Amino acid sequence: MKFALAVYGAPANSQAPQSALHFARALVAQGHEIVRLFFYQDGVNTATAIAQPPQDESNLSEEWQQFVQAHNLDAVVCIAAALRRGIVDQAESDRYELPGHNLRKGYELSGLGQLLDGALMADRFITFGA
Amino acid sequence: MSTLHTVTKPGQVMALCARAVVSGDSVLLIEDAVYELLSPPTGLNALPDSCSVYVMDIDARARGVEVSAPFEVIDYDRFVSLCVDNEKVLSWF
Amino acid sequence: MSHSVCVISSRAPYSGQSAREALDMALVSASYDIETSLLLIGDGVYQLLKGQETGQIPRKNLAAMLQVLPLYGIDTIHVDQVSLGERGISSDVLQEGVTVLAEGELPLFIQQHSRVFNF
Repeated sequence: MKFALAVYGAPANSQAPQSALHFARALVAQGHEIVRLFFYQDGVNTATAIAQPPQDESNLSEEWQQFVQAHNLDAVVCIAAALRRGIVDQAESDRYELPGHNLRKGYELSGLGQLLDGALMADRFITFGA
Repeated sequence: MSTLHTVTKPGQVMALCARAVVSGDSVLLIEDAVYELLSPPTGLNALPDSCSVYVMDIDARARGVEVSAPFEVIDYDRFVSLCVDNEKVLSWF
Repeated sequence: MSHSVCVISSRAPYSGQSAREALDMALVSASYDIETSLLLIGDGVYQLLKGQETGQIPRKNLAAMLQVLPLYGIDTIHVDQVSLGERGISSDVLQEGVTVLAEGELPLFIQQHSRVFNF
């Protein structure tokens, strides 16, 4: 079955990215297909490359990236939500002349239409909110 | 056509969810919503009798919340199965 | 199959970005020519209060933004009567273009859409 997942909470102040990762792993293990992963609202913080949780805590951003890359997932970060919260790739950093960029590899910045599109093409759409 | 409702917070969020549930739907408590089992269960009591209520095992354990019948403890594999078995999934948070 | 979308917005207008980002979702959906409903429940009903003046806070006026919905083909905003009642809000302090869903109408209203986005 085709699934689309949306994540609306950040690793530092919600459990949403963690619950979503548990769910995504179970989906893949059962042979389901994840047609789109969409990070919106504070969920865009999951895609930052520069958060450093203390060593005795798991690095969810890193775990998510490894999962996305291992399964070659279509992982989209909402561009408007990301810009508002300081998550940018090289192109946006150049466009706004920012001092750096921090979007992890494996993610694409794109519009909200990708969330809609993902939900419409999937058999099931699941949101992990905060 | 049935719906799986996932609930992430107790109290007002649970109560809102309960108002959208109809007979034959299922409800899954995850994250802080497992605390709903400790509080006076106003939201849970508002659910139709025919509605199954599931509780995410790791979230209840993490918070020291004990789960007993009629509530069923489940893992993520079962969460996936519930998504397949219901036509729609609604998330309340 | 032709789709219809229900966007459920349940947060107050200026506490975070949720209300704004839910509205954006409704606008995107409607602009794709998909039949789209916006449903305000819980604290989301506060978005509809008349007389919001946001000049002194660094946020766009959400009530004003809701008024553009008809231009996108969303002719009415649906609002949950129970949520209004719980907050002591009578429908005469709400802006125009609102349809109140009576107690008990909520499940059927939500279910008649093929996709639901909860915020």
